[in-house]
Order: sequence, then structure tokens, then C-alpha cells
Amino acid sequence: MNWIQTLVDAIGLGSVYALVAIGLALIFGVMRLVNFAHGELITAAGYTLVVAHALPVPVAIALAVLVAVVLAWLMERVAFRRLRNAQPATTLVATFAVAFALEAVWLIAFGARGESADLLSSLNEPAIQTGGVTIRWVTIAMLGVGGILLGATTLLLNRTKIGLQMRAAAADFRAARLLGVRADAVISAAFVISGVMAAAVAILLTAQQPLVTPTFGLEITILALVGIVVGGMDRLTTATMGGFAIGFLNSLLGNLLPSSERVYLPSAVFLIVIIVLLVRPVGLFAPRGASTAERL
Amino acid sequence: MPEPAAAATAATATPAPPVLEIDRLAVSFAGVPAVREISFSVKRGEMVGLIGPNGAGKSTTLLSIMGAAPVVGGEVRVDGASLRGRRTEDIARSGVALVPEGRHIFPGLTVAENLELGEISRRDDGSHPDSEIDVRELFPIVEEFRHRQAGALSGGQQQQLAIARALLSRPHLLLLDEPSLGLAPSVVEVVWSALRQIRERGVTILLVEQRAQITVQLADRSYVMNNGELRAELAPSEAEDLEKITTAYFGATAEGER
Ligand SMILES: Nc1ncnc2c1ncn2[C@@H]1O[C@H](COP(=O)(O)OP(=O)(O)OP(=O)(O)O)[C@@H](O)[C@H]1O
Ligand SMILES: [Mg+2]
Repeated sequence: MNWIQTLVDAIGLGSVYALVAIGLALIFGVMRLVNFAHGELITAAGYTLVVAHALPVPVAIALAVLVAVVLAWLMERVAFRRLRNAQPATTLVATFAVAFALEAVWLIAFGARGESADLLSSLNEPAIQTGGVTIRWVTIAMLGVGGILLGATTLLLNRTKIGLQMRAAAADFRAARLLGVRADAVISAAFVISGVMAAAVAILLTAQQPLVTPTFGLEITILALVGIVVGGMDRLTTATMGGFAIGFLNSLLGNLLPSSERVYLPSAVFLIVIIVLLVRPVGLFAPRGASTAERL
Repeated sequence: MPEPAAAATAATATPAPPVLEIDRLAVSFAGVPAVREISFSVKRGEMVGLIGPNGAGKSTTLLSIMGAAPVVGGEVRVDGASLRGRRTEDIARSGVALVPEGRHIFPGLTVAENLELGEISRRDDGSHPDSEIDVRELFPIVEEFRHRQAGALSGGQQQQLAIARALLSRPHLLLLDEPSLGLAPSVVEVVWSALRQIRERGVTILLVEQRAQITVQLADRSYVMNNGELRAELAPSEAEDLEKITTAYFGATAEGER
């Protein structure tokens, strides 16, 4: 195993985790809600790709995005909206409930063994092959899509009216509403964006490994959440970097550990996380003396 | 039937409603009353003061006008229409602006972005031409520091930004919560002079303040609030009557309500 390749693969997977982190951090920034059901958006998009595998690829991708966005919007509309003024513990439990309910739906509809969404498996072909380094198309896609979506989110937040309103709401929700910022609009916008991110993650993950199981999105979401907490949950940039770091680390350790010891991978990742949190409880990437004034 | 006379009769029969009517408003936080059935109104172009000690319920009164406090009784009407059940953002968009206690500017955003947020609720329907104030002229400092982070401004500059931001929505009712709080005397003067100018342009104002005397002097009418109730009404001529002000402030506390 060539170290350049190991690094490139790790950067690719890091980008996917960064997309999960953006989705989670946007919701947290605007609503102070840790959306454990975010993974179900990824799973929903994954199963859409399974169901739509016979359709032309662009159509299947569009459908996956549509399903994740609509589900994200519905989640907020039906479940979280009425809990907006509830205790954080209540809303947290609600996100668990939504996640478990949807997982039950996936289990009943698609079974526990998993279904294959192999419409993008051709991306596993090597794109560049020189001197023992093989860079697959899927890695390039991960980097490209990750970069584009990160840039698009930044532009949306910094250059549009709704983006400004989202940043204001994230900093001081009541002050924003007093100025006329519509709470429903900024929250819906955050969920819609998180849906787009989830669909992108599902598409990239299935391109690398087509098996979609009921816990397809859950695993990456839990890990990304750990990354966000480590990076600094309060800010979009630190949360995204934390997500990237955990994906990077996961891929790196996965490649470095001998296959007989891969079972220890999660433990190794969590051990590193615990050490980081002990050393820097505010988050690895949080600036010194960080305030919570600028969250998005 | 002579028409002008008929019109005049109609006008006297249905005078325009006050811009703001507070009608037996009651607010409680988890069962603890903060505002106890208060009533007063503010007419078009008037400036009304609301003074009183800490915890009197002044901020709560302003927040309940904005639909941001747990109202348990009575109602608030603006231009005759009840605000009951309306969302904060819709009240803001209907032309009521609050400069909240503690300013609540967005420190991580630039001054320009803060001002842009003030324009969200602006309605360019010309229905309130009296409130078209040139904010840049009123607060040159805000214009000068457009590209700075709002959090980097001094307290006085932040207060000017907060007022400028509220004015950009072209409110026909402006609510101010302790605009002079924590400011150096020279800056307080800047803020007061701005308030005088805003008032001269005809904006209807409800001003909450701790500085009793200057508020009573400036406002058309001032109410003293204590323990959630209005205890006295003061005219500008009574600004020097310190005894009346202090009695209203602290008079009833002897009854052991607090
Ligand atoms: N969010 C809240 N939750 C619980 N109690 C509150 C809340 N806001 C205000 N109160 C209580 O309501 C009462 C009135 O408070 P309010 O802030 O309106 O007073 P105030 O007149 O504005 O005082 P100050 O001059 O200190 O600003 C106080 O007893 C206060 O503790
Ligand atoms: Mg107050």
C-alpha cells in the first residue's frame, strides 16, 4: 500500500464526512438541535438509488436528492417544529424517535440484509495510475463534490439574503425574529440544505460501496457527530473540519491497520477522540477565546 | 345636506385609533406575574416614556408588544388591530420595531450586514412616509464603519447601530428599551439627540428608560411602572417634581409586594 494513495483515499473519505458535518452543523447552528435523524436522510437517498437503479443515472441522482430534501423538510415540519420551544433533552429524544421510526420503515420495506445500489460502481475504475498509485474516479468525485458543495454553502451563507438571515438566526434567534427574520423560513432552508448534503453523501458512498442497509446512514452520522464535537460544534467551519478529520482518520487507520485488526478500528478512532477532548474540550479547531457569536 | 359638515361629523364619530393600545395586558413567567393588567395608549406622533426600577416589567411590556413574551391576558392593538397570536416576525414586518435592551446587534456580522437585516421588514408602500429618516445622516458613524465587524464597535456605536437598524425598517411605531444603558455621558447625549430628531420626524415612540428625569422631560407623557403595574402618569412639567417621581418609583414597595 502506497502512502500517497492512502492519503488521497483518506482525503476523499474525509470530504464525504465533511458533507455530513455541514448538514448537521447547519441544523445545530440555527436550531441548537443535534439531528440524530440526519443519517436517515442519507439512508433514504441510498434506497432511492436502489429503487431507481434501472433509470438513467442523472434521473436517479435527481430523485435521490429530491427524496432526501423532501424528507428533511417533512421531518422539521411534522416532528421538530412543534418542539421548537421544548427542552433540549426533549428535542434530542424526538430526533432519536424519528431515526428509529424511519429505520423500522427501511427494515420492513427493504429487509435487514441490504440492497445494492450499483448504478455508479463504474466510478471505482482507476482514473490515474502511476507508479503504484491508483486514484479511482470515486475519490475524485468525493473531492470534487465535497469542494463544490462546501463552496456553494459558503456562498449561500455569505452572499444571499436567506444566508444572511440564517447567520443572524444562528447567532441570536430572538433578535433576528425581532427584525422580521422568518423563523420557519430559515429553519426550513437549513433542513433543505442538510437534505442536499445527505443525498450527496449517499451517492458518493454507494459509488464506493453499493450495499445499502437500514443503518447505512446512521454509522457515518454517528462518527461525523463525534468529529463535529471534537472539531467544535458551535461553528460551521470547525464542525466541518472535525467531520473531515474523523473521516480522514477512519480511512487512514482502516488502511494502516492490518486486516486482522480492523475490528479495533472504531475503538482506535474513539480513543483518539477521547484524548482530543481531554486535551481540548472546546474543540480541536475552535480558536482560542472563542465566543459563540459567529456560528455559521 | 352640506357635505363638509357630514364629513366632519364622521371624523369626530370615528377618530383614528391610537397607534398603540395596551389593554389590560397581563404577562406571567411560569405563573409568576411580571405585568399585571396594565392599560395605556400612544397616539400618532407621540412619544411616551415608561420608567421604573429594575424588574418592574418594562422590558416585558415591550417584548409582549412584539409577541415575544408569555401574555396571559388582555391584548395589544396597533392601529386598532389586535396583535393577539401574531408571530414576532410578522409584527416586525407590520411596521413595529424594537431596539432591544442590551442592543442585540450581531457582533459577528459586519455593520452593513446588521443594517441589511434591519431592512428585512421595510415596506416600500409609502404608507408611512413620516418615518423615512436618513439614517446615514442621523448616525454618520454607522456609515463610516460599514465594513467593520459590529462586535468591534464601542458600546455607544453599537447602540447607534441598533437604533439605525431599527429605523431602516421604517417603523411607524418605534420601541426603545433603555437606549442609554451603560453608555458614557457624552454618548448618552448623542443618543438622546438622535431620539429628539427621530421624534421630530413624527415617528411614534415608546421609550423605556431608567433615567427618569430626562425621560419625563422629553416625552409627551411618562408612566412609572413598578411591580408590573403603572403607578403614576407624569407630564413634562413634572420632571422637576422629584418627590412625585420617587414616590411613584418606590412608594408602594412598603406594602411588602416585593
Ligand atoms: N424570560 C424570563 N423568565 C422568567 N422571568 C422573567 C423573564 N423575563 C423577565 N422576567 C421577570 O419579569 C419581571 C420583569 O422583568 P423585566 O425585564 O420586564 O423588568 P424591567 O422593568 O425591564 O427591568 P430592568 O430595568 O432591570 O430592565 C422580573 O421579575 C423578571 O425577573
Ligand atoms: Mg428591562
